[in-house]
Amino acid sequence: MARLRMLEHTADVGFEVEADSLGGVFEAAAAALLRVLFEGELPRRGRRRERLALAAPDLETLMVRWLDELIYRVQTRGEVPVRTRVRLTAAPEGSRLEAELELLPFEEVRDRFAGEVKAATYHGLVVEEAEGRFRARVILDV
Amino acid sequence: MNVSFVQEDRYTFRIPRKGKMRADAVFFASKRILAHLESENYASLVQLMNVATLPGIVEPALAMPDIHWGYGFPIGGVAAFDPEAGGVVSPGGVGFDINCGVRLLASGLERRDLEPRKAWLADRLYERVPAGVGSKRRDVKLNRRSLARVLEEGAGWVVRQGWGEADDLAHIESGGRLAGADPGRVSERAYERGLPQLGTLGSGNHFLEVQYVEQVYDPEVAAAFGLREDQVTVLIHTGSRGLGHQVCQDHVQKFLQVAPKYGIELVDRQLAAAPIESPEGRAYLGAMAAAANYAFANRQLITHYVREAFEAAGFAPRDHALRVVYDLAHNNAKFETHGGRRVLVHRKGATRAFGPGAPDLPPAYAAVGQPVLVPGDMGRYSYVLVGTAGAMEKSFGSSCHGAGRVLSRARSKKQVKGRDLVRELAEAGIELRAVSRRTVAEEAPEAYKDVAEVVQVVEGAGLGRRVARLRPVIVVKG
Repeated sequence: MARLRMLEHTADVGFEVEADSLGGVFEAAAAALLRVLFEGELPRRGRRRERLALAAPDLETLMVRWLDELIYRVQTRGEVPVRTRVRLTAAPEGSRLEAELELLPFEEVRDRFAGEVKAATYHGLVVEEAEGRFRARVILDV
Repeated sequence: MNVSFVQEDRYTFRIPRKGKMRADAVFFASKRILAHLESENYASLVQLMNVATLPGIVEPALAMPDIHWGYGFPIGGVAAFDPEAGGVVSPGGVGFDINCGVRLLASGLERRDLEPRKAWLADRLYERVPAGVGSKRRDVKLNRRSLARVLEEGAGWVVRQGWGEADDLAHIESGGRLAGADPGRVSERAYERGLPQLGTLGSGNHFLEVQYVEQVYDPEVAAAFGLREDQVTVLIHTGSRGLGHQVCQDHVQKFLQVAPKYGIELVDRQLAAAPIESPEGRAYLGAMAAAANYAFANRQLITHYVREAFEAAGFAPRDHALRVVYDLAHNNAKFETHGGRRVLVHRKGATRAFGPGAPDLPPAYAAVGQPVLVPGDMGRYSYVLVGTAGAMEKSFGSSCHGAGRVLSRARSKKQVKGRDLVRELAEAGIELRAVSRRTVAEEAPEAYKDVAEVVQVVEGAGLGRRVARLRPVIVVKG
């Protein structure tokens, strides 16, 4: 079961997510991003599926790349990843993420769009395991 | 980190060098601003101290009175680095929104000319100036080749397409074209993000306002800027959109990889930096200048849409006579000469504020100093200041860029819950058009400091002088 908490930040927007698995933390971070981008509930099913693979030298960089990929999909390609399934594995270059995205055309949820996000930042960024749970804290530039 | 500072005069505070800091830090504040910094647990001052740890910094690391907690650099941060002393460039010191900035237009109209057609004009502006995602104008189409020209030529490219006047370019910082742009250093994804967004406003704190000059403080300088009481003005606040965000993302990641190679220790990874005189540093500066040129072009194209909107609202070109007073960046890094040294000045949420006789000023402003545009919140007012010799001496020719937030977005939403902000503003004579209700709640006037307080500190510290105050009558937000 994943948990999500929005953080106070004067200029920007932050969130903290917790899950049973590392993949779950990345899925929860995607859900948190959608809460910043949209108001209210979004449909849980997309119109099409897409696979995505990313790699990074460390988990924090992987989190930034993951969120930036999703921001790009919404804001440039006009596709909203309403559901994500993420698997993380060790890779020679550090960590590797494989995800399946369920995408919905932006036009179908345009009325719920709350405003753009510029990027995920490294400021105060944490991705860690503590007492068998996995946790991430992210500040977005909005 | 513990924060201790000493007060040097009424508005100037110094944080002496300690720990890993390579220079002192200086910030400007009033008692009320100081109380706000304390309420944030001095998070923004810690960020300022972190900036002072970067190699090659020229003392001091600075923060303007609209300082607030950002990511990496504080918002309101100014830092100069000496390329000859191993100085660095940091994309986090420019921000994701490269050359986010403001442009002020002055019109030939008076407030009373506008009043009968105010709501009509608000609708025309809202229709014709696209906000962002999913909203594009079909009559302006770019391809990759023309976008590369935009990145090289900036606002000039837009004017050459017939969307503006040559005189517009004379009133833009750096003539609307930052030197050293290298479109080849801009990634394909940045191109992809930039193609549909030229001429779009964006969301968050970006806006378009129609205002009138409510008060003139300095008639002589106001006359040099072509401003007079009751005159209708337009203020445009936007930047380099997704293209600039992508350039920053690409280079922060590269810089994180190479920082150890250059022995750069980072106390905050968002401060990722590389020596100015390194292949990575030069590549970022080339891409950053290209993104800055996109932003100049963006504000130029929006200016064209604003002129169209005034015409659609029944104001003939000879009547609205909209001309550019000034266009300036408040997120960038530029080579400038200060104290006889060529340094790279990073301004992150800070405005260049060159005084009389400084280089790179339009001839009409050379004798008085450059206009410094300081937007406030959407319910109160904005200021036009003029750059001063004091700014040249104390702050690498820099001043504040706005009011600065006091409430987080979540708190602001909570505070205005149940209120009809659109109606409240309408009762105060302000027509608001916005894509998102949430943006309106997050950008409520009380989410910001009173910009008058910030401007008072700027003036008291000698970093700028008030010229005019502008009152909004139409606000368009993404």
